[in-house]
Amino acid sequence: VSALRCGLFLLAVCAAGLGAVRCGLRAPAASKAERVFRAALALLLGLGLVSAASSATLLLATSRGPASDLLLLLLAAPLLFWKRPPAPPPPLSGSRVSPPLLLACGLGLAVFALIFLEHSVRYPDGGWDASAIWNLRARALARAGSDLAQVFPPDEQVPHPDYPLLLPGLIAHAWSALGAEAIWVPPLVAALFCAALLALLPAALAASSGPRAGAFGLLLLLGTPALLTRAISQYADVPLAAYLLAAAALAARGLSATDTERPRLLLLAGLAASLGAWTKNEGLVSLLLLAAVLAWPALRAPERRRWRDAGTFLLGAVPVLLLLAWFKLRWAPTNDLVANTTTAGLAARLLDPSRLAVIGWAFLQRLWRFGDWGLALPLVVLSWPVRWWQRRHEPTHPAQPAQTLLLRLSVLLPLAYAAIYLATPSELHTHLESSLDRLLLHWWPIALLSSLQPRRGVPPG
Amino acid sequence: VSRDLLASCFVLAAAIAGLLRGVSVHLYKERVYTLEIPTRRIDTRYQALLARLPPGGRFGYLTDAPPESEQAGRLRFDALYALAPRLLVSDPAARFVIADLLHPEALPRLCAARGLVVVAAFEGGTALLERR
Repeated sequence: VSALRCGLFLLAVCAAGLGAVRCGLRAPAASKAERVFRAALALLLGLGLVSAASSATLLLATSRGPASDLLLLLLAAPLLFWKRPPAPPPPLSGSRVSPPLLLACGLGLAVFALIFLEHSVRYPDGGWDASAIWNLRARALARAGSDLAQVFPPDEQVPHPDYPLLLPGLIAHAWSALGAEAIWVPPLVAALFCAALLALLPAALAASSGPRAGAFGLLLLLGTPALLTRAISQYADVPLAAYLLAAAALAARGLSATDTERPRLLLLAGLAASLGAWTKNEGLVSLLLLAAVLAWPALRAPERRRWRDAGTFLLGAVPVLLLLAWFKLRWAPTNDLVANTTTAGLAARLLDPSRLAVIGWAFLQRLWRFGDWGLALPLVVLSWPVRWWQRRHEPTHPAQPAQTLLLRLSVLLPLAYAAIYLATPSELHTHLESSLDRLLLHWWPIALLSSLQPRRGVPPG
Repeated sequence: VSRDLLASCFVLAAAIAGLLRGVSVHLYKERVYTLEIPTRRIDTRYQALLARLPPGGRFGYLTDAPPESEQAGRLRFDALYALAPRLLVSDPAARFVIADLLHPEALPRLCAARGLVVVAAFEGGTALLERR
């Protein structure tokens, strides 16, 4: 029975992920980079959909077991046999990756994987947040049976009891499929999300900007020490970063796609962003911001198409957002930031200029401290004025809306975080020190995707 | 020197510096250089206690770690994690109380001061207590 359930679980992950990708990207992949992009996307969406479906059956019907996997499999399997249009011609060969860069990518990945393995064997319970938030909730979900009141007690004294359930739900569901609380499941789940992130960024860059940009993206991501720390600690920041990157990359593709492909890509982007919102509360902020950035041009000049884009994106997010709403309204306690906010207090904080200075200084410090003192962000920031100067003298190109979307998103996301810090009722210094690096880690892959876009928007490979 | 070569050199330098920093901090913090490879499982400390508890419910929680210290927080979250989904509350009226002590020899004194009796005490400083 256990083998059957495990098989069903794995089949559901594969079918849901591949089916969702097949819905959004109908034409067969024309390049190796595109195949890697789709595989990473399928893994992310498959894991997320299986987790969301199992949480939905648990929260709505207090039902555990393989029903959600079976349902996903039945829904997704026909999509895999959907007739596809002919494959597009392979892209023209563009930039090539030099052997030293290839070697560096391989070595970097090998070192990353070795450290991950070594740490996971020694500390399988994960870091502080993993055992105090994510794996704790996973254990409660797995052990409490259908008694949800025991999983979500109103007076639970743990950090962020209102965080959504993508990661704990997935781990608990995998344990349920295995029939045992295997200690290797949380590190394996963390490794899968990290691998998906490390594959998605270079593949998205290689598909849009050529293999060299892909190699640059991978190296800069590997050269961010905080990513290694968060990944081996099994924190949810890595899955969230991966979902946000997937949403941004798909939305950017959607804007450069044909009229038939555009809504499909935007629906898929909405789904990816909603899975980010189902991972951590911060994901909801990014989802709303991405919808606003999609609609932005319509604010400056009446453009119904861009309203439609934002609407399509949100439509893709609706199923998971409904689940999130049900969880927040029925089971989760009120968010601590919301619960501790009063109108008068909020107004006082918003009008206090000293808070702006503290927040500004904290963000400025991250220029050299981000990612536990890595050099990647300073290098990327140094490239921005050059890129800006070059862009001013470039002719308009069909790929420009996509690049503009990524640029706006990578500029506005830190501003949205800054606005939340301005309003937070928590002690500002402590709040900034404990969370800013994580928030910037969610933003970092999008910033790299935006910064490494081709100069003239010509997809070279 | 071409622009591409220059960009590649900068990216390589940033990547190598970042990766080396991440790896060195990781190896230093975990004292891998001592070649002792300790594996830490949170459950080990609470295994015997867990076997004596009912599958769910609310329990009082008692520790001798300094209040509000990182050590106290760590112990409490480790206990919550190991004993999930049981709820550990700071309720002086709770009938059953879980003791999670840094100094097990302090158990009789703590019990006497709080009107508790030992139901079962385990190696490492954990115990199940009951209100008298």
